[in-house]
Formats: sequence, C-alpha cells, structure tokens
Amino acid sequence: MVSKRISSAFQRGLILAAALGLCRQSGLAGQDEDLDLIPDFISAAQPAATPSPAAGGNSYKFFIEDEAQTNSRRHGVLLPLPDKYVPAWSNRFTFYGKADIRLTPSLSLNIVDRFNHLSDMHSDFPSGVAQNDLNEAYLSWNAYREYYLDAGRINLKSGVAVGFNPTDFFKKNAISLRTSEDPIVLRENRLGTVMARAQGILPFGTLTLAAAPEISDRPGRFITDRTSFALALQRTNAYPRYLAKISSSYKAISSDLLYYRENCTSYLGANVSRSIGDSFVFYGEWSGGRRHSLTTDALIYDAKLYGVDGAKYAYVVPGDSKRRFRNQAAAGFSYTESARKRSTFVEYHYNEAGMTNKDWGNWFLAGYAERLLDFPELASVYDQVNTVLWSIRDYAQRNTEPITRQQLFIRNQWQEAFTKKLDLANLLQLNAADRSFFLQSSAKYSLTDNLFLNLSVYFYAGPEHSEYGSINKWSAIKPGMTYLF
Amino acid sequence: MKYFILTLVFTFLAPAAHSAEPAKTADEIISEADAVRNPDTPFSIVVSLVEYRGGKKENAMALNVYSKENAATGQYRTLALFLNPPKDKGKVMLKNGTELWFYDPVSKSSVRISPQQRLMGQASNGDVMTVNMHKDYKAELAGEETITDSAKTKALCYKLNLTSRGDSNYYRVEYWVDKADSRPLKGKFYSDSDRLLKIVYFGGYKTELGRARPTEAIVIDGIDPKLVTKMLFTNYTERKIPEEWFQKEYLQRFKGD
Repeated sequence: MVSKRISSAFQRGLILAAALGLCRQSGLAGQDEDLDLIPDFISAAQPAATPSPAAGGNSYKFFIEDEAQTNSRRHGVLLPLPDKYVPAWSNRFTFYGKADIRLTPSLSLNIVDRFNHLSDMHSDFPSGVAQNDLNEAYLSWNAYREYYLDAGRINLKSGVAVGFNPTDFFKKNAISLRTSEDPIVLRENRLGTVMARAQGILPFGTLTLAAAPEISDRPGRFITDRTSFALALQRTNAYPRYLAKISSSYKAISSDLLYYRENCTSYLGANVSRSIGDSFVFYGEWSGGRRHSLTTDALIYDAKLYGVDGAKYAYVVPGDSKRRFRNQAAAGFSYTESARKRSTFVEYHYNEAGMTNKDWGNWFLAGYAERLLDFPELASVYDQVNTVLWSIRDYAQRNTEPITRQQLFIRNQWQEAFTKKLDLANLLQLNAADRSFFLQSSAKYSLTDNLFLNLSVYFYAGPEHSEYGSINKWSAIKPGMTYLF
Repeated sequence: MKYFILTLVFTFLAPAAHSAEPAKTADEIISEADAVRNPDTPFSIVVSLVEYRGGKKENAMALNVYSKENAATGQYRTLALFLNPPKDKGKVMLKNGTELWFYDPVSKSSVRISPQQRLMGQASNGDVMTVNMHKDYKAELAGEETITDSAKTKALCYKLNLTSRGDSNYYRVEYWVDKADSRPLKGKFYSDSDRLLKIVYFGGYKTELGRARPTEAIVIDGIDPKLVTKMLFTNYTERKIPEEWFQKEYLQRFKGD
C-alpha cells in the first residue's frame, strides 16, 4: 500500500518534472522559431570588403546622364511660347563631377562642374550646344576648431521648406539649366556665387557671414554666359550682396535668423522647424524686404541685361510698380509612413511680389490685343510684347519663386515602391487663384548599384486663362538613364 | 524514490542555487548590457549591411557612424556618413535627440526628417549599436530563459521587458542578456500598436576598445520576416568628437575622418 502510494507520488513527480521541462521547452521553441527565420548561409556570410572611410579625406563623385524629352503641344493658346522653346523633342547629355580634395590637413579645394550637351529638333544631330556650368570652385580653410573661411564660387543655401525657400537669397537667377520642375532636383543644378564666407560653428549654434562682390552685370566673353565655357557671373554677381545668419536649436526647435543685403536693400528672414511625434515635421520660412513686384523686377532686369526698354513695355502689364515692403513665406509639414516607405510634403507658398488676379488679367489682355489687332506691319511689335510677357514668367522661374501670389505644393516620395529597385516621386503645384496645376510623376529604377533608368511625365492643366493652362504644351515625357562612377 | 528525489532536486533546487547569488536589478542588468555595446568614450565604427530577401541578396550599404553620449540626457548622438552604395555616397544623417537632419552633398541642402523617416532607411539599423537602453527605456526583469544565439549556442539569459520613456524609436522591447557576462544576445522591438518591427541577434563578440563587444548583428524585419539584414561592425575607433559636430550646419563640413 505504502509502496503503491510512493509509486504514484513518483509518477506524479515525473509528470510534474516533465510538465515543467515542457513549459521551458515551449518557451524556447518560440525563441528558436525566430532563429529559424535566418537562412543558415546568412549567419556564416561575410559582407564583401568593408569600405573604409575616404583615404586622406578626399572624396569624389561622378556621373553621366542622358535624358530625352518629348512635348505634346497644346494648340490655340493666347500667347504661345515661340516654337524654339517647345521643341517636339530634345536631348540632354550631362557629365557631372564633384571633387573635395584635401590639400593640407586644414585646407581643401571643392569643385563641382556640370558639362551639358544640348540638342533638339532644330539642331542637326549629333550637333548641338555645349554648356559647361562651373557650379562651385572654392578653397576652404579650417582656421581653428570649427571656424572656417571659404573663398571662391560657393553654393550657399538656406531654408527648411522643400518647394519654395524665401530665405534662400542666393538662389536668385542661379538655376543654370532647368533639367526638371522638381525643386529638389533643381537645387542640384545651380550656380554658386563668388563670395568670401566665414563660419563659426559653436556647441549652441552657428554664425555664418558672407560677402559677394559685384563682378559684372554686363555681357562679356568669359565672365558671362556668352560662350559654352564661360562662368556666367552676371547671373550671380551682378550686385554686391551680404548675408549674416544665426542658426540654433533649443528644445528640438531648430531656427535660423537671417539678414541679407543686396544692392543697398535689406531683407530679413527666419526659418523654424520642429518634429511632432514620430511621423510629422512642421516647418515655416519667411523673408521680407522692400522690393518691386515681380513683374516690375522682371522688366527692370530685362532692361538692364538685354537692353529691352522695360519702361516702354510697362504698359503691357500695368499694376503695382511701387517699391515697398513685401513678404514671402512657405509653411508646411511632412508626414511619413515608415512601414510603406512613403513621405509626403504639403506646403503653402505665399509671394506678395507675385502676380495678382488683376496682373494675370492684364497679361492675358495683352494676348487678346495681339489677336484682335492682327496687323502684319505690327508683327515685330507683337513679337516683342510676347517676349516681354514670357520673360516675366521666365524671370520667376529663374529666381525659383512662385509667379503667382498663392500656391499649394505637394510632394510625395515612395522608396522601394512595389520592388526594392523602384523609387517614385509625385509633385503637384496648384495655383490657388485659377485652380490650374502642374503635375510631375517620376520613377527611378536601379538596374544595378550604378545604373539607373529614369522616367518623368509632366502635365500642365487648367483653363485657357490660367497659369498652367496657358502654356502651349500639355504634357512632356522624359525618359533617361544615369550611370554613377 | 531515489529518482523522484533527484528529479525534485534538479527541478526545484537548481533555481534556488541561482537565487543564492546576489540578485541584480533590471536596471543593473540593462546598464551592464549597454556598457558591452557602447564604449564609454566617443567612438566611430563602420557599419556594413547586406539585406537579404528570401535568402537572396538585395541591397548592400556601408556607413561610417560617429557616436557620442549626451552627458545631460544619456542618449547617444550620431553622425552617419554613407560610404556605399554609390547613389548615397557622401550623404550624412544627424541624430541629436529628436532633431534629425539629412544632408545631401549634391543638392548641398539639409532637410529635417522625422524619426519615422529615419526608420525608413538602413541607417536606423546602425542605431541598434548606440541606443542607450537604460536611459531610453524603463526595464523590468521578466525572468530567466535559455535561448539559442545567432551562433546556435545555448545561453542562459535574463529576459527584460523594456518600455519606452518617451523619445525612443520603439515603444517596447523584449531583451535577452547573457547571464554569465552581460552580453546582449537578442532583442525584439515593437511599435506603440504592439506590432513587431525588428528582431535583432547580436553576435561575433570580439575584444574592441578594451572589452568584448558585438561585431555583428542579424536583423529580421518584423513586418516582412523574409527580409533579413546582416550587419558587421568594424573599425571601432576612439574619437574626439566636439559638441559642434552635432549642429546641422556642420553636416556639410563632415568628412568622416
């Protein structure tokens, strides 16, 4: 009886022990299942040669890119762009080189250059136009701790917004070649300004001072863009310019305060940004100073640079020609879905110097006048008026500022869309007054780590009397290829 | 009867023998594990990653990561310079608390990004090396477990349940620390909706900067478990990293040397 009881206790003990053991095993099994997710060869795999940081601090980047463009014409617009600006097809080949060479431990030479070969339906293939853009060439001296002195042609950029940067004062007239309508791409393709820059980076903030001399505002062989390899300094150094900028961060709010002076006129600017939660970044940017309206500025610029009598054509687009304090602003946020690798930027752009509804009305009225007064003997006058009208829009594009007062900007980028090798980006610019819009969709597919296929499609849509509906093309397709060395 | 007693002894007395050791608190365990991963001086490492999907290599990338602890917050601040692939070479990412910036040398502009934007890229995987778990998470000891590490060796571990103190990338973490030598061996990282985001195995322990530290990690994507990333940590180097380097204006000056 006693032995039977001991035996049953022994059995219970074994069951208990087995149960405890099983419990532990089941806990282990869960963890081992995680390990099963790792293929055996990965555990043993060694990545290819680990790249070491740049030897001697030198770094280089080179790529070649070819991009074709076909335009689909919109017919019957009031003021068509001359044919030469809307060719049925065109092609751009670019060689890009960037070098950062450490000359001594504290002195480095920075060079960024783009060589472009441009051809279109009006040129006999393979001939075309060669255009070399020396975007940057400057010496940088690390004088002491984190204090730097730079001198030469420098691309000095400011601003936190994506679509429009009111505080990016040196962007004015600096886009050398409009390879895209995407502001992020345009930023990669602009001319620096010849300047001296001093920068002190401190633990609590940064002070930047820059001074750019007036070199030339008149056409000349080497310093303007009259030859393929000229420096186009008339674009960037037409006036003496000065900038002082203080950047700091406090409790995750990052801010910049800017003072800018150009040709005896002062401007103020400010940037602020903060992330809220894990997914949002909110930001705002503002600048203000005394200036003419964009229309008047464009006429003055053309008068000075190209010898066009701006005053003579001021009647074409009459409006607010007074020089007064005007604001520019961009405010928005970015939102990210990391699981889907998508980011969206939404921005509101305000340009107090931009064209009002009345200005647009006058702009189109000039077009009507041309149509109504169809006298052959006045053809040359109409051509000039047409040139002046489009030069206003061209001026806004070259200065990378909205031509109209209010604009909505949305940019969505999707990394690894559908496949690891595909990146997509969509961009929408909406004129808040006339509801016309520009839409750009771009895809980049990586065939290898170095070779990419690109495709962009543009749409210009809106009523006849609207910013985008008045452009005499309604779409463009841009296939291309990029090879990184 | 003899077997019964022996079974009881092994089953119940073995834990008692462990409990005779001075018990460590969860905070002590996590601090010791942090010290294994993170050198106590500013340092740099080269992080090489290869991404596999379904066992097939998809992406490779390398970053030169500079890290320094913020004495005030205990959080690590990092500057990551992309060395590879060619399309990303020269880009720099700054993480200074919740202030994150991304600098592209071609456009020469810095864009402020959100923590989620950072998570989209592989740079966030580099952070598994420099997260100060003790400061970022509240730790609770959940018990002891024997797990199998990435080298297929069994190890008795402390299992810790960590909950975010606020500014961390993950809401909660399950964390296994080798009981014998405080080496972190495994972590499971969850979102605030309790979605498993990452499983990380630390391994390849070698002596670096004065003590045994992990030189590899295998990261399994929680959402897509077929996506596995192998990371190698090399070139552990002690660095003098000035505070100025964590200003966004410094990004264009950063050479990573």
